[in-house]
Amino acid sequence: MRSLSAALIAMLLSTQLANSHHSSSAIYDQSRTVTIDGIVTEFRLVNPHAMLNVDVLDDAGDRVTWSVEMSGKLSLSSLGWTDDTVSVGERVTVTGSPARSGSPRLWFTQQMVLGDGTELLPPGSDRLEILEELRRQRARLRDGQSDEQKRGE
Amino acid sequence: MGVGTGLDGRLWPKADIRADLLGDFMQAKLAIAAFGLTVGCAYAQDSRPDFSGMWSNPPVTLEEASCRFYCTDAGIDHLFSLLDDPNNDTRPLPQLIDEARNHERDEYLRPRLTSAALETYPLNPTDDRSFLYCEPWGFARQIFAPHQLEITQYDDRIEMRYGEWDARRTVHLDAREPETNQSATLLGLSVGRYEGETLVVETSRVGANSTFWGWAHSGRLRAVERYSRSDDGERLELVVSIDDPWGLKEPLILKKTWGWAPAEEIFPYVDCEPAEGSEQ
Repeated sequence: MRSLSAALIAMLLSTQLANSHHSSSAIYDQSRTVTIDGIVTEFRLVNPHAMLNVDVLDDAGDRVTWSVEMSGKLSLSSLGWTDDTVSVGERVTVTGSPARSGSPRLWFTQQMVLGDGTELLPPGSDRLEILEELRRQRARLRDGQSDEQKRGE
Repeated sequence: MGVGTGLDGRLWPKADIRADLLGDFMQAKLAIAAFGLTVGCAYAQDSRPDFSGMWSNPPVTLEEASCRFYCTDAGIDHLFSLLDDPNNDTRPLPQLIDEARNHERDEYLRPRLTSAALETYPLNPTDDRSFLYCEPWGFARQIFAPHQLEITQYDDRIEMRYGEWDARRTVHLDAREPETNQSATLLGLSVGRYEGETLVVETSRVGANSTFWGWAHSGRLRAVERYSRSDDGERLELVVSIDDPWGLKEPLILKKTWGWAPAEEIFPYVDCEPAEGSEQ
């Protein structure tokens, strides 16, 4: 497989992407973010990854269909997502990581704003906040023990 | 052959009465045996640890901050040593987590790998059949899958259903040995037993595949999983010893935790049928 040409690999990726269960970092550049604004043409809350197609007008005024890929129904349903969370015809703004290939694809990593102003975040977005609070608690405990030791000395 | 009255009051040939009486006697014995079995089973069911039900992602803790799919003591200990150093208080937590993971990779995983396994690093996503063909994960990834794990315990087996890939796995409790010509499969052959409050599962006959720890494994992989519940019953804890004479110089000890999640459910996979030519 490693002997496959880059072009063939790119072709494989493009043909298999829609239904493969992959590492997002292999496809999307998570060091960059892109925001798109457009009209939803399709939303599928499925496993392994949910998909959202959005028609976006580019700088030349041409309509470009962006595919927004996100965590699957497994994860999104735990946040309360349903088939009706996003509606066809609705205007949305989505911020995420663009495809490395330059094709109009996005991995939903940051924020989605629906037509009524509802803000949706990807699964796990509150995880870091919780961890930071736990870290502060641990540091306070550590510093308190350190102070006690100093007083004891 | 004469005619007599059977125990049910009907007329039966005498030979059939004897057979009927014998039948009733046997039925009585069977009933007693069944009663004994029922009591025995009830006792066995009561005495075995209860893992049945739905488990899923555990609550967020610092212990698991450095664990992507699995944990190692090396990764956890290193993260805590970083957190306990006041010089790191201003560093972003994701940076410390990355450092702990790198430490785990370089100081725990890599030294245990054979030169053959080291040559497979880093795994190329385009070598991964799950990536290319939507083929479900093999054993070495599936047992560490995030999200749901639904366990159903029977007397002769345990069924495990994972949210990821909607994968299903049977753990046989009949102490069966793999047949010599038994072919390898994605999830292998798993045989389990209870040891006190722990479920011990030994797995072999797993086909060569990818792993979450970044290197490939061979068809000689063997694993011993130990499942137990936390003291408060709210967590399911797994400690796995993985050995692979082709890829590992010594076994890897990997850990994972789930939280009790009775309200969660598993959804089917849609549009993820393995492509033609892929192997199940």
